[in-house]
Amino acid sequence: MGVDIAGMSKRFGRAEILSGIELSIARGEFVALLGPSGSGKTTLLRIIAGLEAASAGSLRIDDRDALSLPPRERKIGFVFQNYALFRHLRVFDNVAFGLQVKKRAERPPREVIARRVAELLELVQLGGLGQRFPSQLSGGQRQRVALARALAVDPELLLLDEPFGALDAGVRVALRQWLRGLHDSLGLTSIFVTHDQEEALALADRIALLNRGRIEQVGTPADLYDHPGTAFVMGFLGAVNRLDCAVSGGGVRLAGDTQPLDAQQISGPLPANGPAIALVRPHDLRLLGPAERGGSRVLLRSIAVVGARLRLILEKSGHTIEAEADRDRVDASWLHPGSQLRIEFSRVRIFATDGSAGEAIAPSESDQARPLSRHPARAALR
Amino acid sequence: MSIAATEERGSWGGRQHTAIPGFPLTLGITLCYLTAIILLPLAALFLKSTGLGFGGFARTLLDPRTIAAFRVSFGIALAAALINAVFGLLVAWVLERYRFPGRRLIDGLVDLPFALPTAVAGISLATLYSDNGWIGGLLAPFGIDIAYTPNGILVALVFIGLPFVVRTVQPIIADLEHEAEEAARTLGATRLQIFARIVLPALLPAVLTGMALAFARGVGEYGSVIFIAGNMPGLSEIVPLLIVIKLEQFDYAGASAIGVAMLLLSFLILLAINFTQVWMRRRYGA
Repeated sequence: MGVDIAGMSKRFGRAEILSGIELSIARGEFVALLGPSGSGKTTLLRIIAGLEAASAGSLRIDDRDALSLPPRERKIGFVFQNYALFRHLRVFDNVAFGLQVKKRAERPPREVIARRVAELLELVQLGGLGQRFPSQLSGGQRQRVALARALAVDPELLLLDEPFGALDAGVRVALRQWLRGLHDSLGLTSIFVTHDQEEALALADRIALLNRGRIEQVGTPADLYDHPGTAFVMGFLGAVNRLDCAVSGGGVRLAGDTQPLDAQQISGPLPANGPAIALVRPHDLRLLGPAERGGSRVLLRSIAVVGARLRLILEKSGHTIEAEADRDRVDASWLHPGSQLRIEFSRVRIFATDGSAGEAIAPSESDQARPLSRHPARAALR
Repeated sequence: MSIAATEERGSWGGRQHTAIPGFPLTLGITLCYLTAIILLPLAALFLKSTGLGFGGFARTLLDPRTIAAFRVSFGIALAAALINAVFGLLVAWVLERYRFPGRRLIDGLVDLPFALPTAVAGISLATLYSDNGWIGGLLAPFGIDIAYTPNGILVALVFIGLPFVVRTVQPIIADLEHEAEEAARTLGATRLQIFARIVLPALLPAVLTGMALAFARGVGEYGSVIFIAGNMPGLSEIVPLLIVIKLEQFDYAGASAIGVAMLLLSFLILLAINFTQVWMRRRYGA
């Protein structure tokens, strides 16, 4: 079933949690609502579920106006971040709950419910655990009970709030691949909330990236990564270096450089003339050999071997820059901290300085948003 | 200390490091304290009642006036505890789940029955509920008498029992996972179904505890009841009053016999409630 959200906003008192949300989701899609904490992504999911009311705008599910419908008539299944299992009920009764509370006329007979629950428990690989209490299960098992419970009412739209947030890293990766497979085989439409860009990139058909209650960009993972529309999008999806620059007459000159960048070093459109910011990913920097000409002068601060990659921390006119390279392709023997090097940028993206973008890139403390947290360029971004 | 000794003790004492040292010492103090404070007086009571001999004991207890007093005390205390279970739950729910001006004030009011001298409570209630009192005056035209009837006892016991239920249930409501209720909503449950199937089972053990406390307090309550009950033998006379009357007649053995019977009955009822709770906790895997 399709979901259409138009002109939606949500306020709590004076605080604007969501504004101007436009999002269309096609039947069968697996969509991620991605963003830092406080971006409004969970609120949006809860509005779709009917657990919260929108202040303005429209929500159509399957071409029906859904805002006036109570949750139970929206044909949704909701999986909560902390599972929200019924602690006093056995796994079986947790899963059966949605069927048992149906009106007498619609309620399936007891044997049918039992069979359906058994099927669902098989489906989530928990066959035989029906008589356990939730407290007797592991985190991953609880997550799957929550999923089975949500699926019991035959939802057409599955809503998941940080579905893997509380799990160990190993379980998380296995479970998310499995969930993706389940989505495909059941023909569901799914929306999941996450703050983990890697999870969104790996799993979703499309990503809606939210920031401060607005959708920054919607697109496929490749779209967002290769063609970020704003500095925030580029900064949120993976590590970036941020440099001051100036745009004039169709050319871009980085702060501290004498020569402008070549046109082929730049990706995407240029903003209007004036000061701007240049973003470039660590792997889009190339060390120039002694025989090569051009490039920008940098100072090598430190060098670290990270598995098959080499990570260089550089300094360029006051900015700290991180560079990454394959160890196979760089001769590290002549690299020593303190030496002067020259580097060449490629796929540099130029964005207008809008003031807010820089602040938005810096990850907030509570956020675990990992893109930049281990990143030395962070200091420069602040 | 050898590891073996620690291990061996583990089955009785705490295996882990605890803040207060020495399982034997603390258990010893606990037992001595309980003996001095609770067991000794009770033993004295038992001892005193044996002065009657079995025949006298039975005669005292089977006296119609005694039986009627027991019926009044336990019956009305139970009724009051049930009423408090319902309304105490409601009060606790409102205080925990909603934010409104004056919430703290109401929260404080709940404790008043704890603090107020019971005689003061009894006299105020008797005045309020008498035929020309504020509330009694409203009810009198409908032929409902409260003060100086068993109804008065009920009112007094509801009054003093309320905080027990509210204060036991409140923290459990605060701990309830709000998301479980939301999950039930998304699964199609109605408000009534959410309350009956999700909220109530989680609160029931606490409600039962509060009820047991209110009941125990109600059975033993003396001060507030005697002012409002009317104290008609066989109709509105409670067991504690009967004991006092026996004492005034210098029938110490008879008084202690009734005391012993009351003690045993209360103990059995509280034990039953405790077992119910254990069963519930197992059942719901809390």
